[in-house]
Amino acid sequence: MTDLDTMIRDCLQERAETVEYADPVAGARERSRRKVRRQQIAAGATTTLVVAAGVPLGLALASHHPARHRQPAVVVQASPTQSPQPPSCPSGRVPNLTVDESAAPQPLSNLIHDVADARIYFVVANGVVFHANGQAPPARSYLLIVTNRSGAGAQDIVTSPDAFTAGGKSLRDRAHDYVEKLKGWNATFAGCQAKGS
Amino acid sequence: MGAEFDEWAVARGPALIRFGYLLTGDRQLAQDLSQEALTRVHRRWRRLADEGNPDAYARKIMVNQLTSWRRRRSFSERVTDTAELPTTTIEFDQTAIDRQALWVTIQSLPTRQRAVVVLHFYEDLDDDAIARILGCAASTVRVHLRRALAALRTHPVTRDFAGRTP
Repeated sequence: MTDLDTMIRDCLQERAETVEYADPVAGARERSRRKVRRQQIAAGATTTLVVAAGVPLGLALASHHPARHRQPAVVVQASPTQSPQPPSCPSGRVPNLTVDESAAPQPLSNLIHDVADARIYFVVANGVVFHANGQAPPARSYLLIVTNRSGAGAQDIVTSPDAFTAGGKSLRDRAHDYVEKLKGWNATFAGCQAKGS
Repeated sequence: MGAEFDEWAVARGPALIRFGYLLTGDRQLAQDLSQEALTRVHRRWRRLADEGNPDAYARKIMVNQLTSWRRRRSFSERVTDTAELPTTTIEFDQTAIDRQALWVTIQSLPTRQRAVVVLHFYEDLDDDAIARILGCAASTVRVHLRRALAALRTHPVTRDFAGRTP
């Protein structure tokens, strides 16, 4: 057995272990959404997948469907040089994180236990964009890169182009846990804003 | 019949979803595939149970179903451009990079080749068993596997680390 064989086995095994039971109700909802998406595509919407040259650093989805061209309502910035869980409010800017509550809950990764552990992440989830390192994704592109500080986790997030063919639903699922964690962060900001700090 | 099928579905359902995920790289699609397979197995449960190998039939359904779905327009999306990624200075673990690159490359293989790779390396099936699932000759399975491995060794994404193997 060659090392490549071993790597293939390890790779597939590792991937398979990331699959867990999904909420059947959420699964049905997602299937319904994909059906709608397919109908949109059949009606003329086209999707262009943009694969980063620097695999495994990222994948991008650029859609030409009008519904996906809207600007993200919210931008939350997180930088490795800043505390991802701010103890105090930053001056002059309060993120207003919008969360799609209808997104199906999916465990993101057992490799990343806390937002503070995230080294970098770009997430697009139904209009919600998280910028990493203060840099925005390219216009009309949707990037998702998540790692912990040691670099682990990227392979759990960045997936094949197939995962994006359903209009980014799988992307949203994977982002959901992160969004849940960042909601707490957002609440901290909101509380600080209420206090006028 | 109902109880027997339920028991089998509960026991094998997760494995089918994992198999579907390795085929598609998409959890939701994997669920669709496994659901379709369970539905069809249920229709033929009595006969499949008598034959003693509903797993193989379920996998066959999933591979064929995926091939069928990919013919549809929703799967016609293709890579047309390259993203301008921001420059980062992250140091990734090399193994993670290699596995990610490998995963991406496996997902880029044609459906039949990818199915053979998953059935061979993940399900540990021999050529004859794979041939029964895919409905082809064992020699065809070997051709698929040889081509898939050649593609993995020469793909720009995986060529570097494949070259590092002795």
